[in-house]
Amino acid sequence: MSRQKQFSTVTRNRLSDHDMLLDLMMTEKHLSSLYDHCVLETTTPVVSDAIERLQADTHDNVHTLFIAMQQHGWYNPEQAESSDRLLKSNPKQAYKKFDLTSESKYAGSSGPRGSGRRVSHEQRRDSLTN
Amino acid sequence: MRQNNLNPKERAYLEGALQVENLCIAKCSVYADQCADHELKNMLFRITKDKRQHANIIKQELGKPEWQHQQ
Repeated sequence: MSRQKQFSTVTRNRLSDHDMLLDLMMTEKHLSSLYDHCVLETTTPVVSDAIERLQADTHDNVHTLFIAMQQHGWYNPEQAESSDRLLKSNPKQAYKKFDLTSESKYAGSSGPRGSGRRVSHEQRRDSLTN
Repeated sequence: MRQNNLNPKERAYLEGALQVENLCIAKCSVYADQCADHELKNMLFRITKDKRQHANIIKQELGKPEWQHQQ
């Protein structure tokens, strides 16, 4: 919401340049998805070729809009932090963030016996050597 | 005008795509007029032209008359 306000440069009843580009980008994405379904469903080779060309052009348009928005500082998707990098730099935070602990709701366990629980590399190595 | 033997599914998809392409043409033209930035304005005009070509290609596939630029 605040992000939207930050980029809205024009008065009411009129979209800002940011809003216009964002709207076009969303429309192009929808069109691209439509072409994707269409090319998978079509059985006529001529139609399939035409749709593939239209799809490629749509991708070009989205890229053009994306570059324009990025140049104006309106579209900066955050780089997803690699789990490996985070695991090395801050294992505690990584375990918490990606829910890797044995208490995770996704971790399998046989209850009190604890078999199926996630074990550390050291524990696994010890169990294999002993 | 080319006549393709389209099955109903292909026809439905192409009709849908034509509607969205026409929507894009309308949006791009309006936004190009309203845009404050000159470079963005030119870019939107370019995209509008591109979209008109797309609409014409789809119309060809559907066997409909193409859009003509009015003088």
